[in-house]
Amino acid sequence: MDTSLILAIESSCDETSVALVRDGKTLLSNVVSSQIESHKRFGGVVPEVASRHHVERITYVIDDALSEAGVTMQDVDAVAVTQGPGLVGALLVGISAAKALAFAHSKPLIGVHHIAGHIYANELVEKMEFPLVCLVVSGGHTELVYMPEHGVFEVIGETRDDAAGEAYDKVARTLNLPYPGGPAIDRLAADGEDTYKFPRVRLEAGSFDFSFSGLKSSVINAVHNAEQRGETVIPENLAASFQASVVEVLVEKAIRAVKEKGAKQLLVAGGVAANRGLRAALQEATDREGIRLVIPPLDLCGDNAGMIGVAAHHAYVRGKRDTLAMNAVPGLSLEESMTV
Amino acid sequence: MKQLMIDTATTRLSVALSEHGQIQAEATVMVSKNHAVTLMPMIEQLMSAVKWTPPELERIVVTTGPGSYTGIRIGVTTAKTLAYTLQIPLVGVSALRLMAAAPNTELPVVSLIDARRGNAYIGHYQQNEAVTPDRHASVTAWLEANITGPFVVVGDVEPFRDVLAAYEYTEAPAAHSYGRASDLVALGEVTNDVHAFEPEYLRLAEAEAKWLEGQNNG
Ligand SMILES: [Zn+2]
Repeated sequence: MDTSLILAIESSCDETSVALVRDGKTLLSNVVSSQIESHKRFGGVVPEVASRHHVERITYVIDDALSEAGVTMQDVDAVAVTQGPGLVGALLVGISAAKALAFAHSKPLIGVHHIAGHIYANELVEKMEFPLVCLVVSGGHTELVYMPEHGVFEVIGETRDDAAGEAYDKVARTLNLPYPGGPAIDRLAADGEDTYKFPRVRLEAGSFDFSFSGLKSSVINAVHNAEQRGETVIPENLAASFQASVVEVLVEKAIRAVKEKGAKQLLVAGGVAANRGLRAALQEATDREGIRLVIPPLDLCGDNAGMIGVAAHHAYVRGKRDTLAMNAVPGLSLEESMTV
Repeated sequence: MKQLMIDTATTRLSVALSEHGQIQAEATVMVSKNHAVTLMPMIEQLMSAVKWTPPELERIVVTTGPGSYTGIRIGVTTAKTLAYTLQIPLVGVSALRLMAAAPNTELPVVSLIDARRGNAYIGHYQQNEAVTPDRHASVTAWLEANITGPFVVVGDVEPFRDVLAAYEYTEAPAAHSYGRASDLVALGEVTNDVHAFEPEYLRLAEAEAKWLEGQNNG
């Protein structure tokens, strides 16, 4: 039983998304309704506003996804939904809709971990080969995840303070760049040079953990010091220097994890996987080391239900089923999430 | 006509089923700790108790708020997704109207949902017709502006007892103070557009209100 047609829903943050996924391989549709324009005026995602938008859009997006895929609910084998982590009010809209669909058509319900979804987006690029290591970098997460087989996640390194994406947002605010900050810094950095030589925070020898709060403070101090001296900073160089420090540490630890774990592939997942500086550095390092690198295409790096549907397929064939009493779990653990 | 009724607007969670206007099943949790966990299993249980299958449903009625933001989103999302996917009519009813429908009286009924700091969501009904529109307001100011004669009060009476003392009011018995899903049986009108169906928060999100203020001042 490794065939499936899964309707997947993702609503953990500021994208309302529904996808139809065949056999965990083919996206028949992957509709994403972004709220980014609405949240721009607040300089970040406002949870209550996000939840309200999800309710406004959810059935439109379900309907678009079904008609684009050319299937009906009768054809669907299971309904999957992001259970966590994420904003609880936002998660609950997707979960309520998923339960209604599952109940109305007597289909199984499968809760999926959001980060498992990001990792499984890679399966759409290239079949996963185990064991593998995945570098997860997003607004809320910076992790190195070891996978010995489908559905088994071992977090071997994580951030001890800020996530990489958070550091990007804060540095962007210091430079008065528009929201969202990550892509803005990436664009600036492409035209700058690493002139500031910010510290590379590697922590103790052998650790796969990360720390970005010190780097963030160094950048903010550099801006303030320049202001006090009446100098102007060159934003391109500041962005390039910041990004060089982040990327160097991420790449170095990811490569070391692959070697130490004897991994067959290095996967990259999460919103920051769209960062051009990071993609280029990873490509260069893995080419040099002879490591197989898999990165999702740009449109699958951000939040989307397609990736949830792919992860759900592997949970479905392993027999994972949730009840209609499933709750949103804002702090859901990745390691326990796919337990059948 | 087989009808499913849902109320998740307050700390009460109430679900009922009716056929030809007769209540077939009803369950109410007076102090529900988690609507998200309880609602769908409760619907499933009542349906199986009367041996209905989901495709047999012909109409859904839901309270749209005001009340707990998360509560009404769970009820409205569940109801609109069911109505959409089963292709059946959807009816929205103000949670304040549902509360006001419970006591058997010819007097005006004022329904209150506490919104803290002296404010409440306030409904004003007489024999199921709205006397004034639902409001989020200071209870003191609202009563001064809208009340002249005797009335019945339902809902969150306790926080406003001092303010109410100046008026000629009676209280509905506790059991009738919030209404139940079964009271929805004859209320509300079918919506034309299930996709555009939304909760009635009666208040902007805090960030949105501040942003608008900034726009107006700047
Ligand atoms: Zn994400």
